[in-house]
Amino acid sequence: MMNNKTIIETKNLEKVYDDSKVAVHALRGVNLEVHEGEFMALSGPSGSGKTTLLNIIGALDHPTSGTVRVAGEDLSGFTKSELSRLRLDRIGFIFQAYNLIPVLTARENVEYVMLLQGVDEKERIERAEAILEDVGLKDYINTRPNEMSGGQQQRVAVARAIVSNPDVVLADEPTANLDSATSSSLLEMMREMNETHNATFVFSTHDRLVMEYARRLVKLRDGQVEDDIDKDA
Amino acid sequence: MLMTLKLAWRNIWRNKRRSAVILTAIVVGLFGMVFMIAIMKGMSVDMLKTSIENGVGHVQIHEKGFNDNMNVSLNIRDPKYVINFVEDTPSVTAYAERIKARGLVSSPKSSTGVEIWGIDHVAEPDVSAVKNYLVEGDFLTGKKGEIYVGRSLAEKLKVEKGDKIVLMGQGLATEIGAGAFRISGIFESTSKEFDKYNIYINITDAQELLSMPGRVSEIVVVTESLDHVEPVTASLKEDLEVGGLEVLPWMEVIPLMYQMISLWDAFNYIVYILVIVAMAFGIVNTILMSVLERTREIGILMAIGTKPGKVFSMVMWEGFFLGLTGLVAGWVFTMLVFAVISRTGINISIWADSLKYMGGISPIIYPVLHWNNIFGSSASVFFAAVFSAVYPAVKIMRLNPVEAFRSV
Amino acid sequence: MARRQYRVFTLAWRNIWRNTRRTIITMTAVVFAVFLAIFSWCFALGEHEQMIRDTLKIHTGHIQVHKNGYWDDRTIFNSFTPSDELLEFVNTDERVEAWAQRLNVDALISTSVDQGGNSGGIMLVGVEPGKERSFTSLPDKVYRGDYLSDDDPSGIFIGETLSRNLEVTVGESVIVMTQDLYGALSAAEYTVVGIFKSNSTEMDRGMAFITLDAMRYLLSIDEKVSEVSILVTDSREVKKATRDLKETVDLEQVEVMPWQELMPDLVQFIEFDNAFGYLFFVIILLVVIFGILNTILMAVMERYREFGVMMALGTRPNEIIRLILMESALIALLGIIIGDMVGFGVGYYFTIHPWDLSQYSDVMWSFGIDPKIYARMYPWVFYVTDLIILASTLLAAVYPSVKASRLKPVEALRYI
Repeated sequence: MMNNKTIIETKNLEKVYDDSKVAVHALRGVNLEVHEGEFMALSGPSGSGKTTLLNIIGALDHPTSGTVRVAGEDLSGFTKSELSRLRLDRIGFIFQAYNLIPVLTARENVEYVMLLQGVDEKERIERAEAILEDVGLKDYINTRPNEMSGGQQQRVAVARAIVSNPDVVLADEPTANLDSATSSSLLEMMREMNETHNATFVFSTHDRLVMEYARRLVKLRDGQVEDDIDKDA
Repeated sequence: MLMTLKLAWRNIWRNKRRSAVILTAIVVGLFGMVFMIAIMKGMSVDMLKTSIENGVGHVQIHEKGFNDNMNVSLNIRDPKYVINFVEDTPSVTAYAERIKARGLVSSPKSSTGVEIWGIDHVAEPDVSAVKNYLVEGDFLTGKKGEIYVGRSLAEKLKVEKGDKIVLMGQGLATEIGAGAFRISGIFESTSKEFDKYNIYINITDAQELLSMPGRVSEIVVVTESLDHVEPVTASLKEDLEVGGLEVLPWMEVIPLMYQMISLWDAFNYIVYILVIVAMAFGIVNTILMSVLERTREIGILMAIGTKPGKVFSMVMWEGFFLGLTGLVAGWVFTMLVFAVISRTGINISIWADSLKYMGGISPIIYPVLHWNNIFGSSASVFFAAVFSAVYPAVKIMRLNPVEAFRSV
Repeated sequence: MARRQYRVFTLAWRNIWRNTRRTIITMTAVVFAVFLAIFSWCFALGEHEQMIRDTLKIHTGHIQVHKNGYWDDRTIFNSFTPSDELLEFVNTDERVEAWAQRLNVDALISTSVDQGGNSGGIMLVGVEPGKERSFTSLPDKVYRGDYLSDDDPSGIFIGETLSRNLEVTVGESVIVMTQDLYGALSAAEYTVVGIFKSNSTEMDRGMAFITLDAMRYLLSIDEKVSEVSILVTDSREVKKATRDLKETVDLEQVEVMPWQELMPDLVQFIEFDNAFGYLFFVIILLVVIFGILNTILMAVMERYREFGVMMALGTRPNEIIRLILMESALIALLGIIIGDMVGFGVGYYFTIHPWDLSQYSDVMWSFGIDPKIYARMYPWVFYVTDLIILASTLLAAVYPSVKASRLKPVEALRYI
């Protein structure tokens, strides 16, 4: 399943937060490579820097020093506008909560990214409905988030994340608000997406379940990579 | 674009109670503006109408200088000459000849200064409402020696219908003309002052009294509508000014009224501005809080690739839709209320005595809804809503997605 | 008990500053409403007071005494001789700033044919020039020539419009004709000594003044007058002075009328003007209050969890209500204080520098209003405004606070 194509590459990534009285060194030199098709989890205690790392490789934040390349491009010179475009076209996001726009239906939520990309209406609707079916929400296409369970909402989030065929999907603690049964089925579905659509997944997580499903586990501690376990190797 | 509109519209209704409250504020604001301005307009329209109907008419023609100085020597020597032109002018619906002079009227008990109107009993009812004010007896019938007086004058002079009173005025000849007249009818308008000061006799009697046979002081013209006043005046000016005559539209005859109308119209703008400001406070806070509530959601929107400009745009549209909804609801409410008060009017008779300051308008005011009012008030509401959305929109557009996630 | 209340205050105070921006915006709304109210009220008061004073000082005065029935039937048959009691009152009472007596009659004024032969009906007023000088403002409004003097009974003082209509100027003569006490026509010639411009169209067009002696001669009347007019030093004394005066005179013979009865139209016009002001203020207040209501409502809903925690810890529902009301009151009070200060500052400026509406001068004067409007400030304006706004804000806070107090802690804790 491993492909040599490197989707994400970081070299000596450092990030310092200077906003309160004390400077926080979130990342102290992280070197990481993510390859196409991986199903990877970043784990570590709170404060280990996993969310920060995810934000940086997700082009949401700039590192204090070091480089990060996404799909071969060095992000250091990117303007806000270019980062935004990159996120739109190449990266998919799934968050712990508040993923969806509450006033839009499941289909409209999924359509949203395609709209931003300029996909025309007919194709948008087709692809949205297709992907929702794939994640098992065929009957919920026109439902609003507040009428769905937590697990269903996360499925919609996954659908939206992969509908635009991103190079990588970044998921920040996606199972944190779900019970274990729902988590399992969500993870099952994501693994299926990984296998059928060849979508690369990078998780940031506390959840043992996620770590079990992951085929590569990167442990972070105090802003550095402590361990890098590749189960397939 | 459609998505932005869809989002904006649906976002407004996320919290129904909150939207309902702010919409109420907008409805009250709109209604308040429209109502106040319509009432004021109603009053000024009534005042103008009363003045015009009480004798000013739409256009007055005199010998040059008569309007400044009501001297009988300033009269129209050849009325027929003028009338020919008047009849040829389009949009003229009626006209009448008059003699106007100042004089003294006396009864055995009292005397007082009056304005003498020598009128054509046939033509006058088409140009003024004086005949309609009749309350006792008859209007002039053309018989010699008739006089038509106001109720408050009759009371002052202690006379009744049928009594004889003496009229005196400075005529063209050297002496003061005097004559006895019998009261044929008594009128009562909305203004006691008007009733006390103006008396009406037949024009032929006036010509005799003031020694000016065949002459008239003024020819008054009524046009199709107020909008026609200007073109008719222009046309008559062209025809008649060469002959040493003055052609005056009502604005020049009663410049005070004209000034007052523009003063009140100017006041409208103050109303708009104040209500806009009052609404803005509530709307800004409402939109601001509703936007800040969604910080995380908007952060995610930006994370997945929404440009800040789009977020800005979405919030601005929320302001727009808020304004639009408020406008619609406001007009529905306003129209309902107006449907009622347009029929009943607003009764201001407790301040009846002060009405004399306003040219004797009727004690029941009907609101008048002009296009200016409709546009001005609607625009104000829109402006308030959209303007209020700017600050929240800018604020949220500058959001850094990362910070959004860290905000608790 | 006091400790608990003190805590409410401290808690409320700190709470409102948690969201500074929102508090500031709400406060500004209150400042706006307060300032608007004070500002427009002070102007209205100033305008009305000036109107009254200007109008009354020209001629009418604050109180008038006539023969009983004169006011309804203003002829010379209803003239009277002032009693000794009346004279003593007006001469000695310290509230009286000035007084005058006049004899009025309707007359016809005209010029000779070679002068143009114009005429007009007027109210001819016989006055005592010496007394009038300390009473009326007319001598200040002389446009040409001079005011009347006591030793020139042949002089006449006319309004500017009248002088134009008659085409006469100072030094020229006019003829006045009227009916005397016996019903006979009486006429006399007078010389124009001065022309006044009072800005009251009625006066400028329809009134002319001669000396009281000349008038009595013209009408063959002795000793009698139509009216005794009184100007008081402080207009707030009018009511009491009227009452006292009524007790001094014989009400069978004479009537005593304060200016409100002499010019009910003026009173009503002011009331009418005020009504408009109230209406507008109510509208603005409603709009602002609804905005504040929404703000308080949303702020309270944001804190449901917090209230849940408070109630779980033992706070009673009515303490929640009190807290929210206190917070709203504090914001309102802050806004009121600032609004008062701004209102005072700006209002004070305008008590000295008038608001100049001279471009509407003509129409304003036709209403008797000086186009240079000064504001007048009174403490009660501030008190009433503050009270109304505070009460309105608290009223707006009732619904949200009661709603919050009705929360069950368990439900409230579910809100994040």
